[in-house]
Amino acid sequence: MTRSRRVTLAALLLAVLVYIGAAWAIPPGFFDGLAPPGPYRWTSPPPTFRKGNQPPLDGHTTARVEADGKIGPGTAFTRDGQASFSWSAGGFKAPKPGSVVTFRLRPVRTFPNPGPVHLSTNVYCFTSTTPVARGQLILVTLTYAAGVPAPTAVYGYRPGGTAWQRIGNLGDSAPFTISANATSLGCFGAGTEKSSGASTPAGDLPLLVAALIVLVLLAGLPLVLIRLRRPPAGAGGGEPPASASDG
Amino acid sequence: MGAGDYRVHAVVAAIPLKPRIRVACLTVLGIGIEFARVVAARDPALALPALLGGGLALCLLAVGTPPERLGLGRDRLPGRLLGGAALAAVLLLPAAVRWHGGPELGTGWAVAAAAVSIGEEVAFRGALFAAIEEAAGGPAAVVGSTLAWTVAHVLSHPPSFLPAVIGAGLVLGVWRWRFRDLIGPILAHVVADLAL
Repeated sequence: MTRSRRVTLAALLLAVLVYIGAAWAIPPGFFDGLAPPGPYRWTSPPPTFRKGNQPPLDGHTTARVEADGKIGPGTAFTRDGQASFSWSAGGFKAPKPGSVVTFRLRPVRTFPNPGPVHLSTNVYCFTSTTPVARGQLILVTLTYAAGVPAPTAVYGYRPGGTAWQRIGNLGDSAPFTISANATSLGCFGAGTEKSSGASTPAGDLPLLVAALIVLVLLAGLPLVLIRLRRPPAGAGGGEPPASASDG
Repeated sequence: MGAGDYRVHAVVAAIPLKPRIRVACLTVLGIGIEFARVVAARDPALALPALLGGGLALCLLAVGTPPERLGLGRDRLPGRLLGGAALAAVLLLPAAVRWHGGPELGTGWAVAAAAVSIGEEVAFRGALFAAIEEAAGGPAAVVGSTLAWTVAHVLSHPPSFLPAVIGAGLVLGVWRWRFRDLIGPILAHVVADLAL
């Protein structure tokens, strides 16, 4: 093996070590094309996410009742973007024209036992100074963390109530978010029913990586052996890979 | 010195600048396209088209560069594919060890994720890498393409993720330099993005 080949292989090994060290510092690891919006802020983080966890933020917004007596369409977000709800024009009962309606979003630490539902997100309570108009729907969107099983539905309960109910899942949300239409504001979280039998992909990634390693070893070994049996040719930094030159 | 001599001298002097100008143009365009698709994707209605359009636009940066210079030659294909599998295993390893599940992508989002992965590889480790290598050599191409790729992720990733982006850029860039291959990095990038 020439010196330049040794240098580039050493550089590749060093790069792999640098990458693994850097990716290890950000649980669960490297994300690219569809990156999570940022480290999830937990009210009560699972063990994997305790280190460096920041508390979730609340949010509020206001809307003025327009001259036509309706509240225009809008969206209220938490300041960290982890929870939001949207409404269309006339989505809320409007007080007199010109008055201001306030919408609030608040992460809560204590909430009724969700029973058979395993929650994958914080629980947020949404309130407004005027109720949702009859027959109108509010779009509830919750973000979930990278590295947790994707929730299958949004669940909710009325403030002061104890019973959680399934709100739904529109199924067309952006990655790391889940949305559902609600008929009223209340408290919401996203999760999966333990008894639903829904499969979680928790085991898929380790299996995929194991399969890739086995594939590389099984398919690479014959290529390396063929390469070793060949008489040495002139080599340089840009030569084909040992396993590839026989393809 | 006659007018003809001056013209010849000016043309010759410009030749060494050409690769540098190409590097500058590709860097600005690549980062600009990435920033534009990230900003556009903040509107939920535009998220999917932004990803698909961004991936396509990034691929267009390689127009005019021969496939062999991009690392997309058809020779050594089994080795390139196997290399892609090995690189994918490396990229996924830290997450696989601590995996508890992740988002389930619909077909549209999966196609969009693959489009961005392919676009980023073709633009940054394909066209830009080739241009920097021509201007300043292989090691500079590894470092330069990694830096540009990392800057391109500043808007889409929180700062704590950027060291891992640098690390992944170095792994894929050194592979590209060492084996003159972009198929492996493309395969690894697509598999990693879809799996995560």
